[in-house]
Amino acid sequence: MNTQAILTPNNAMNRVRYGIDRMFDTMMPSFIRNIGLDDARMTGPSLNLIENDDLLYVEAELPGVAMDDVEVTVADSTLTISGSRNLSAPVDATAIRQERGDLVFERSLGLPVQVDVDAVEASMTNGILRITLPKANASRTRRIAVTRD
Amino acid sequence: MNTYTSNNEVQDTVTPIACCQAGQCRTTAKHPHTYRAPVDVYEAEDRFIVLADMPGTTPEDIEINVDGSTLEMTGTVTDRYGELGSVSRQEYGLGDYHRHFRVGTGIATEQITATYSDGILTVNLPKQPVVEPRRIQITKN
Repeated sequence: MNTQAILTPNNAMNRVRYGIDRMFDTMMPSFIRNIGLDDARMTGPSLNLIENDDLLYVEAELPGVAMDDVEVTVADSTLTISGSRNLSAPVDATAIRQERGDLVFERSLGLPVQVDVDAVEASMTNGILRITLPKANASRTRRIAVTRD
Repeated sequence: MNTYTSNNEVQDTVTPIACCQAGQCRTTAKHPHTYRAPVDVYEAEDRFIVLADMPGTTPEDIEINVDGSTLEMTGTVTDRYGELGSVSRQEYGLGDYHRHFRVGTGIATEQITATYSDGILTVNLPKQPVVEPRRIQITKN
């Protein structure tokens, strides 16, 4: 166990922040928390992880973000998602209420298992980014059949 | 050329959290949380435009109703994780979207149209053209 890493202020602050984020989870979806009232702010999208025996899925809500504006990298068991969204106002129209905003984001996540880096895929559907990460053979859940002697 | 009144209003009058507490939002046991979709409202000469972030729903699962002067938008989000596996880390919740608006009398509610793309709902609310007083010329027989 790496005690030093856990006691660093940065790690402690992250844990506090994570705890506060969790409190808000039931109140509003991730993209509302992430979009600031000011102009584009650097912030990380909240992520959900889903897994089965063979695959790991990482999902983020990124409405209005084009696939070309997202970069997904996997290196050393760390997944990094970065990108931006630039909203365009309707032509010849004046804003009378603005709750949405431009967004610049970057988020890294340590993956809980080894993945097959060459087979990672990402897709964007209806504003949801889904990254599919096949687990490396060594990390796959193997079911061992128990046989009688 | 049509002219339009200048005092039309598309005003957000009901906060979804309050209306959910009052039991007016359609929530199900499967999706106990209904989220307030953030919106931008724009005004052009001939229409209002409402843009709402609603990622993870589909055009078929979005319902827009106009009842009198109230515009109600609901986006249903179906569980997309069940078929994938089990959720091992959840930083955001899944739930339906909901927003209420009060719509001014200057809106042609029967002509409201909407599109959904990249997780963004766009609602077009055309303004009612103003009927100008017309002077009738009297002609001699």
